[in-house]
Amino acid sequence: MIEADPRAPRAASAQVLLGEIAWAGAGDAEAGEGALETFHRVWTLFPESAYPDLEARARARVREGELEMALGRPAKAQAAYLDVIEREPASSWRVRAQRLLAEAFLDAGEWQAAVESLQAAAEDASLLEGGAARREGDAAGRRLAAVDRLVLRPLAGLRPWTGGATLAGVGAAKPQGLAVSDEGFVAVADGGADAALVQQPDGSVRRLSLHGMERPVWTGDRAWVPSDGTLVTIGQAPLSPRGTADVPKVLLAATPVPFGWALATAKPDQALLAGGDLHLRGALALPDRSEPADIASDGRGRVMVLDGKSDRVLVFDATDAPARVILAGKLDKPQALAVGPLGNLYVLERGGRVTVSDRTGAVLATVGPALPGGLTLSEPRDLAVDGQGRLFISDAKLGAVVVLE
Amino acid sequence: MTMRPTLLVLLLLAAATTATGALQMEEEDISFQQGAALRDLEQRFEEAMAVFRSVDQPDSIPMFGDLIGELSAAPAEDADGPARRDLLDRALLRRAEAQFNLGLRDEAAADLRRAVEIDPDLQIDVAEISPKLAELFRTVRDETVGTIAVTATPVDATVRVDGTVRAAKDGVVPVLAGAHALTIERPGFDFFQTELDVPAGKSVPVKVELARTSAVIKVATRLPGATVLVDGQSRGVTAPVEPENLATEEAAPAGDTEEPPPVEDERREPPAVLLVDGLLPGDHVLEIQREGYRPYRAEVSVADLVDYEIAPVELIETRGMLVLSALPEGTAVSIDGEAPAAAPVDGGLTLDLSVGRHELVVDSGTVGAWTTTFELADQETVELEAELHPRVAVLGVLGGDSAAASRLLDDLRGTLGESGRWQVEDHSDAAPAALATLGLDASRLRGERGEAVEWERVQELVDRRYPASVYVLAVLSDDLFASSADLFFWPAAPSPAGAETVTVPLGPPSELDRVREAFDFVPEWSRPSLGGRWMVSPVDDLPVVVEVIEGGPFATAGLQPGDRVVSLEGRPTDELGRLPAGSRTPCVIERGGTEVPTTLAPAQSPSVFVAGHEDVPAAVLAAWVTLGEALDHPPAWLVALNRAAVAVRVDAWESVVRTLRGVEAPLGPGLGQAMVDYWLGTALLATDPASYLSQARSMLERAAAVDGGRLLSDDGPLVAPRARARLEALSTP
Repeated sequence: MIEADPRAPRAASAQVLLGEIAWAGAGDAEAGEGALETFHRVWTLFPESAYPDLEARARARVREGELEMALGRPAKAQAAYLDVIEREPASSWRVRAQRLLAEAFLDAGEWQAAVESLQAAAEDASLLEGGAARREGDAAGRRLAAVDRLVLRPLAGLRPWTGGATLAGVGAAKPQGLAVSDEGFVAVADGGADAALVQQPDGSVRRLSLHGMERPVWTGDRAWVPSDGTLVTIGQAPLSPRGTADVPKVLLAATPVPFGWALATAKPDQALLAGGDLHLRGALALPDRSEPADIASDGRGRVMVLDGKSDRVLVFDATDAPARVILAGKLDKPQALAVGPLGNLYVLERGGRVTVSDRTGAVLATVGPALPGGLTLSEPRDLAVDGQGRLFISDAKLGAVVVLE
Repeated sequence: MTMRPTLLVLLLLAAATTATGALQMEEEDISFQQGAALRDLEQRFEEAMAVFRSVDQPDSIPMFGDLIGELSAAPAEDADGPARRDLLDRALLRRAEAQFNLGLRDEAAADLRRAVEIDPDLQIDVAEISPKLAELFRTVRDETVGTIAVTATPVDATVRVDGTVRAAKDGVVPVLAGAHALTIERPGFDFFQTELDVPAGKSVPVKVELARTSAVIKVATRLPGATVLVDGQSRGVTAPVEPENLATEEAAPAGDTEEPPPVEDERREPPAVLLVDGLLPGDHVLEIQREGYRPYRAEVSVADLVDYEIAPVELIETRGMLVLSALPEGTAVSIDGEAPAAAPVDGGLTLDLSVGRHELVVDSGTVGAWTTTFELADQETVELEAELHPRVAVLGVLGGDSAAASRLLDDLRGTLGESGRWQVEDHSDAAPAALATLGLDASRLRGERGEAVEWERVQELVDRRYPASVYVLAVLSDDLFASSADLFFWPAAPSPAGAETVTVPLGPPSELDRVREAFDFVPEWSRPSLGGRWMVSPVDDLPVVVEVIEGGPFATAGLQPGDRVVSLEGRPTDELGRLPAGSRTPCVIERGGTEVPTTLAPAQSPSVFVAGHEDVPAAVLAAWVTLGEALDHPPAWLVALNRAAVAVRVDAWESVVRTLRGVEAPLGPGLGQAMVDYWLGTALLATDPASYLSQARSMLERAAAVDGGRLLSDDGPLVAPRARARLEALSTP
């Protein structure tokens, strides 16, 4: 038996924190591997046999899983989550592991297994105290709603969305670019007022005066808005693409990818890859005659580029992989792209139709321009999907963000 | 051994607060002392006789004198009375002889007179003494004793002189000269009584013919102390005395319900007897009663005024039968604190017991125990199924704050026993010292919270000394002012050793609520199964079917994924999970905008009940697994999975492997071999991935190959996606 050290909890937590700092600063996969090693060391140094109730070990293992996912090794990630679920005592980290395992199952199409894991996460969270567990439980609940809306209801012959309404509280005069977080909080680029509106998790709306705004994006609890070639977020210095002489002037959209960003610019045939500080480090291999109109990612390392010129979507299963072309010939003047919580693609066309497909391009549903609830899209600009599968569409003419739920 | 009542009373007064056992001991001691005193006197008599026979015969006179003095002073009515009187007579005779030889005729005559007064029937062997002394004896006797010459009919009548029964030799009863009361009596006859003045050296004749007044029945029972009733009236109690020379004729018991069994064993004690007289001709009801025995009843027909005798009645003990069942293997049974003659066979035990209230203890060691009382009536059969309860042994509260320790101990005992489902056993007196021999004390447990304790040794010790299903040891936070206590729980073998800790603040017993709730846990070896998965939709709050397992209740009801359960028994509900197995509940589902009626009939699924109860100590769960295995005999594979689940809880991966290796569970979908293989593979990886990689891979491949294999129950989490994930992880560099 390994001799137990009473200082273990603090030492283990410190080790995990080191790993998290290393990961946050990791600009590439190699640095990510270093962080992974730091996390893994927690399991080696503080085994279950000597420290049966060490929450930091569960935290490290979950972080390992998340990092494995970012490094493109989903099986390793699932094994890490399973270790936590099957071997660690109840904690918010075990709830998170259950939720992330469900995400992995969803990505693999095992949605029934995902439901079980999400239910377990929600149930475990309900028995725990503390904000972290509650947040993880809420996230699991949102994903269950998404499965119901986007899988079960269609299976029963029901539409995913039963009604539509304009989003209250944001107050954009001419909403254009739009993003929503997993929790359903909204960022809108208001072209009429030259301001970015961000509805914060506490319900308040913050405004940031900006020019030349394009499509915003959420990372975690922070919304970023491309503005005059930079990424701007409230309360933090703007990020500007740099590192090459050929930096495009207009940044159309950005989406997070492991260890950085993928960027769509106004320059044809070009989608760039950058580190976390927007330092450019490469480009996606776009086919000829493509013109990125929007870009999105699914959180599992895949990047989707909407080609506004060829009316198609280019799917990159990894940032260094060649593009797969989907939905070619099925879209009419597409102008915005979003990825939903189950990994499905949502493409908004200028005419107000939204086409939903899986990542192979199989069309699952269409909606619009006439929407449930009686609204009709007339000048749609952007769309977004939140964690529970609610569809948000900004319409400049309606002067509102429409929510389908 | 008997005692004189006077002595016994004295003893009782002297030892009023003495326990019964001690009192019996004193009685025996006194009896022994009496015997020893008599033996001492006999010894001294023999020593005096040796001197008497020697040339120094005169020296024997004071020796006999001392003896005579002591024997005369001793009470004559104790148990040794007759022997003392005999010894006194002999001493008097020998001193008389010695004195006579010295020429002390008067002194000799006085001794002889005294001897005759003690026993008027005293005879001496004239061949052993000088003719002159014999002559002196006859002279003294004739001056002292007369005789009563009794001629009585019937001849077996009892003759009493001055209240003492006197055996008359040829009808002659020697008595001291003077007035005497003579009675002659015989059951069934008149009573004769007279006053006589008997002159010395004379014989007074008395001739009596008693008149017959009633019939007599000699009632005998094999055991003494039986109450005899005739025609409902108590006539006395049989006693181990057999009157002699009682002429009897055969009486014919008629209409009795039970014939006394024939006497088979001639060596048995003579029967206890009661002579019942006063019976007139006619039919009489004879009843014999004795506590603990069935009443004997017979009708006897008295034809004439003669003596009757019935064969000794063999009273039959009142008995009942106890039929015990559901006894696990290796169970010890005791009735009223004693092990019965028979041992359980195939989980059952039938015992022939005396009637009355009995305490039954069923002790199955670390499996469980059961204590109960039951009442048994004559010829009744009581059937009891052993209701073993798991045992929780409270091993003590360690720490110097004795007031807090005492309160916590009381609260623990109360809390643990509150559900009535556990047998709580308190070993707090002895166990702490025993645990200390393994170095287990308050300071060590406080410092390391038990993490470096060799629990295997602790488990081995307590399993042997204080066998129970679960052990609880409390450690106070401080020796002086304790504010909380750590409760260490660990199970008996074969569950993995290793304690779990619950910290409770010291205060009102409600602080132990968590412990009580844990001990309220109810194991469920099976649970209702709907044959699929469902959830309450966050979109419309209706139960929605997520998954339908082929052949299960959902499938039988025609449900499909996405179906919404609009109502159960006509009412909206989100309580699909509460439908009991075996029930049939009408329900309405919505599919594609249409409502479809159907019926839900949940089935029964085996259950790994240990999983998912993290608020219950693993030791408690292990106890229910062990008890359930012994009592309910669930399938071995299900026991193994639950036992493995206990080991998983305490990270005893080697134990998981040992438990599951070789287990054969049902193949195919649902709970079964897929889970066994998955856990085995996982445990092998957790134990030593380098050494057991290929075995683990093989197990996981088998698990992944089972379509519809489930964890924990027939509609639990799917095994295959998990197994595939682990396999892929193994294959990923």
